[in-house]
Amino acid sequence: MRTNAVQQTLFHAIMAALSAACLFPFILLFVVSFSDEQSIILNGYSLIPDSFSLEAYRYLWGQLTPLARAYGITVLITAVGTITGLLISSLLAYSLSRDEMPLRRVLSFLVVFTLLFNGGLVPTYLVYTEVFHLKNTLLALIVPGLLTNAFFHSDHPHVLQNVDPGRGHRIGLHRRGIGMDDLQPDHPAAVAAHSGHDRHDAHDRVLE
Amino acid sequence: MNQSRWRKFRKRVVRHRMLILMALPGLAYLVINNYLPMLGVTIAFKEIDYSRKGLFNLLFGHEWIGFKNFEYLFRTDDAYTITRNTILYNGLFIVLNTVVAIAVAIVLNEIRSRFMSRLYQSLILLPYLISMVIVGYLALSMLNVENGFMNKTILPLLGIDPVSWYSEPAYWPYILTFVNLWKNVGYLCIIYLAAIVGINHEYYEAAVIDGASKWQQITRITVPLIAPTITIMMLLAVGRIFYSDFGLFYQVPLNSGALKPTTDVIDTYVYRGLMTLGDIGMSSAAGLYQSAVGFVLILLSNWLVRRRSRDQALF
Repeated sequence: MRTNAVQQTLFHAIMAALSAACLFPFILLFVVSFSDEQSIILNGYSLIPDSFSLEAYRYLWGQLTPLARAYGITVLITAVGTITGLLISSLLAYSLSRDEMPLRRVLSFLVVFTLLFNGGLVPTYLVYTEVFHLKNTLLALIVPGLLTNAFFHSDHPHVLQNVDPGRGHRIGLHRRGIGMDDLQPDHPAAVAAHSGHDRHDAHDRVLE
Repeated sequence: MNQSRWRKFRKRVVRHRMLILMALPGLAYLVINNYLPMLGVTIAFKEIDYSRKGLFNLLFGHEWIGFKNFEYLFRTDDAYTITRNTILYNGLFIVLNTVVAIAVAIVLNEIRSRFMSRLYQSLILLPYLISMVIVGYLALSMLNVENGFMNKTILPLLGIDPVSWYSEPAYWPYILTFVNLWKNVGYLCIIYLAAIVGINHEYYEAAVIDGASKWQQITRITVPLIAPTITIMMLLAVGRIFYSDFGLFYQVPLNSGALKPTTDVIDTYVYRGLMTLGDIGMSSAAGLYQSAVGFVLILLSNWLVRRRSRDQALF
């Protein structure tokens, strides 16, 4: 039993050290935000500043309007991007999951192929700026990366296959009645996992 | 005969028009976001005339110049540097992240207090959840030449002279590797932890009765049993080895030109070529080079994944 206690202490020590390493930059930034400018110039960024000051926050308070606007845009593009993205992805995924969908195999291939090959940054940029004129618009922040094609691939291989095709009919629904309701309750985790809309890769950046 | 098939198809389309209608927005989006740019890769073989805009010109306009753009690209040292950096960094990340994540997952799994285990998990996941832009500034608070924590607190403690981090390329392989590990290990660790938790406890009970030490339990039971997960995760990562984490290589070095020899990867090169240099020819050639090699690598890794586990393959 003694060795167990020693082992537990050792494991806790390792994890505590790792957690501290992960947390440290955040704590440093937090303390620095309350540090007096003079003490930063003198001692650099430090966990124990000579004197505290709320100057940084006073400055931010003065920037309230642009700051609030920026947060507003963040919330807006996240909400609109997530909802439209989920909607068009789920609708497409649902159609492609049905055996009776015309051209099902061809269309599924077209979806999977986008995971394998892409035109790259330059043609994408040219299509969005010169053909659709999205540069410097709010849509530029929403449209690229809208479709979560992860829905269709291996992370959740059976996401869409667990839907019983006959279920809707048995309970007397027309085809229109089977859809999101059938899909979602079985796999809320899958839908949630893919609904993040905060990717910030080069494709999104060029249009900002 | 052919006509009756066509009629059947048309009938099917009409009968399932709702399904088709549901698929349309997604398909239209794929055309705009994926297939038009795919057709647009031809500009890598063209001399761009900047006055000609629009879809028609993107696809059919501009003068064909064959492989000239590629010749320019591969004649410079850039092509070698960005390929080397991309592959070496990603290769190192794959190996190091996997090893560290598994080690941490094993340690986490041994911790008996559920509360503490959850707390550690949340804390090491924290860096994964924040944007690379913020990570860039967190790194700056450590590495800033005048005020940074490294130069002002850690290096003086060790008696080392201050380093001007943002103009010394030699340190960046270590810095980028560390930042990548710091940011991603929490997430990977949780994936491996899930695999470890799924191992049947009877194996360990039997091992304890046979007198196996903790170390033997780890090397003889845990690691072999999560090996399939490890292989799949690594193969999927190898398929993406030609694509790098743009934010890491662009935001964290703060786009410093002096650091390019050790921080420029294909993604940042294409981005800079397009946005700062306006050299569409070279940039699109590098982009197509990435897409083409990336395509082959993804097919290859998928083929390997498929041989091991059909479920986890992309197709």
